Amino acid sequence: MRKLTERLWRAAWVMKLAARNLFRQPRRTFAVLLTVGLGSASLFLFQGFNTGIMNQYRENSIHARYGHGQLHTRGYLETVFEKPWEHWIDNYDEVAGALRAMPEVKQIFPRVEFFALLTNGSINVSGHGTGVDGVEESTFFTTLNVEEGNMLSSEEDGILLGRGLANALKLNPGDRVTVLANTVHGSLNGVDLTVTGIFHTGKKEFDDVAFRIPIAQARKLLDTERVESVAIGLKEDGLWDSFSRRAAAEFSTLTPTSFAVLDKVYYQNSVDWLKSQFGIIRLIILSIVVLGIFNVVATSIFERKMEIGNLRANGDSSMDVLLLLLAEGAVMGVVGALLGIGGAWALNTGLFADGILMPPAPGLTRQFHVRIELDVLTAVLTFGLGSVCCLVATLLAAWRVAKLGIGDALRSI
Amino acid sequence: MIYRARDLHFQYWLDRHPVPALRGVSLEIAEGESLVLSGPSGSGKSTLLSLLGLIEPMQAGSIRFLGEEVAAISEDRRNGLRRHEIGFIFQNFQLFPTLSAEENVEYFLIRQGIPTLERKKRVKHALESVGLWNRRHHRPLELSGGQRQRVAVARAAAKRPKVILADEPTASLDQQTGREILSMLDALRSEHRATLVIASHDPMVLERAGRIYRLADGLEVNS
Repeated sequence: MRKLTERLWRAAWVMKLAARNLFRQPRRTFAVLLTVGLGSASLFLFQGFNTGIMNQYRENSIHARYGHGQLHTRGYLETVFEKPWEHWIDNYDEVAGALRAMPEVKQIFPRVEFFALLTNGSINVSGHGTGVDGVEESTFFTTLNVEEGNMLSSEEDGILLGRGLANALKLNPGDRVTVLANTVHGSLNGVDLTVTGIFHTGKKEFDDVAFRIPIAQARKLLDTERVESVAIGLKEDGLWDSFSRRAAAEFSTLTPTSFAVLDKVYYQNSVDWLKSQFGIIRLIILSIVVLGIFNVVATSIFERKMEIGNLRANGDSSMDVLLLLLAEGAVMGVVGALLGIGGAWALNTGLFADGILMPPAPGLTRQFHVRIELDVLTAVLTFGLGSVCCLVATLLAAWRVAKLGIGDALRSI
Repeated sequence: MIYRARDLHFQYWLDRHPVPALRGVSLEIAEGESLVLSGPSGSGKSTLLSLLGLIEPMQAGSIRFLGEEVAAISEDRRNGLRRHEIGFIFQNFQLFPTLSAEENVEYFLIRQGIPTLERKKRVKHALESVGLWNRRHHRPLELSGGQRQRVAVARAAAKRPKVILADEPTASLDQQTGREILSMLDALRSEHRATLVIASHDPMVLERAGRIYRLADGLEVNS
């Protein structure tokens, strides 16, 4: 017990000496703290920025188009069929009842998708239509940007047009438009609808062809009682895995597919690309931090060779000296990383509180605000990285001096 | 004998050229003795002191310290001997600038593993012996050169080493202060029955020496 107490006392003294040594060269200590602090703050903010972008992508993908995921008949998404409607869900009411009973599910959205010709009497434009439950979808798909008019809701003959499609047809809210399509039996059918609103998602090729009509009108147009898919709105974003397992067990003929898979090109690829990019930039930032600290710490340690010689002359081993210098590095790393993270957090709640306005991303047509989303886990990881960087830089700088012969160290000036 | 040194050779390397510092020095030092290694600059006295202090690695010859052949002992053992049995006093004091006088004295006692109560007692006694107890909270930069050297003496003495090795301990001090330092060293040697070895060419040090070992060009001249 006494030995342990003495060892703890000794360690406390090493830390005390290390902490005091930080005040020997206040400018250098400040330079190291600044390097660690700026590096940590950069990493923290950049990670938060990326998280913000990824979350925005995810929100767009879920609340503009796909929901948290969709149910299709087994193999439907992977196969191209001559008559796809023959593979649509034919027992929708039964499926809907089971889905509504599941604890993860908040809302369900039956859909059919089809190609059609839209005409205003003089101009004909082909489009890609989706029959939706307007009332349900208007409460969930909140990031669909309706720039004119209103979301499709309880209107029985409403149609919501993509920006490009509305422009091509020269239509405004309140105008009438005819939608022509083949029924599932092969005959031509048409419905007259009133434009309720014009939307954009920011993806030009989608906004140029997309339109939405009430699912009852779509079924009438296609002459079918089936639905192609059921989009799912969950109570929380993290419940997909649980829902997916439950749905797979419940429906032997249906397959749940998450939005990340449905929107792989837009969402998942963006997330993977950003993560990869962040990895490289993190490496660059960390290298700069390590080199910056190494430069300052190495100068400082080299000037203390005589003191190190004195420590060694009085019985300290190379390892004891190395530990003392590492303790100093650790103190600077911890303080610097904490300052950096605190500063970044303060900056984010002040200057960046409204997010950062970004130009249109690849494939998008509109600017968007990205919030820097900081969380405790990222703070802890950044703190660890900042501190470890300082330790590594100190180790690189201290190693040679700690290994120096005692006589050489004492003779140095 | 606390030291038996035989046929010591040592050379430094300057720009890939060997510079001999010791060329066959033999020496015996008895326990409790007060010895001064004397000679002009470059005579090898500091090198000999470093070898006696287990600071420089052995190149040729032999030193027996406390009955152990120095060349044969491990690095750990050498560290242990330096920590417990040898006290150093340097010309430029070598105090930790961020620690107070009291903490400077206490630091190496902690490294020795001396229990707290005993440690505090030793620190107080050592600083009182050199007349600096009332300045124990001062840091080195707040002390004069003489006071710093007194702290260095207290630090070496508090370790209760078998040997105190002092390299030019009066070189940075005025005569009066140098004399005081030497008196303190003598007093501490008597009190703790330590062996005192001083490397110096200061006539004032030589006057008070129990024995003088003279060196020139790395060789003993006479004793």
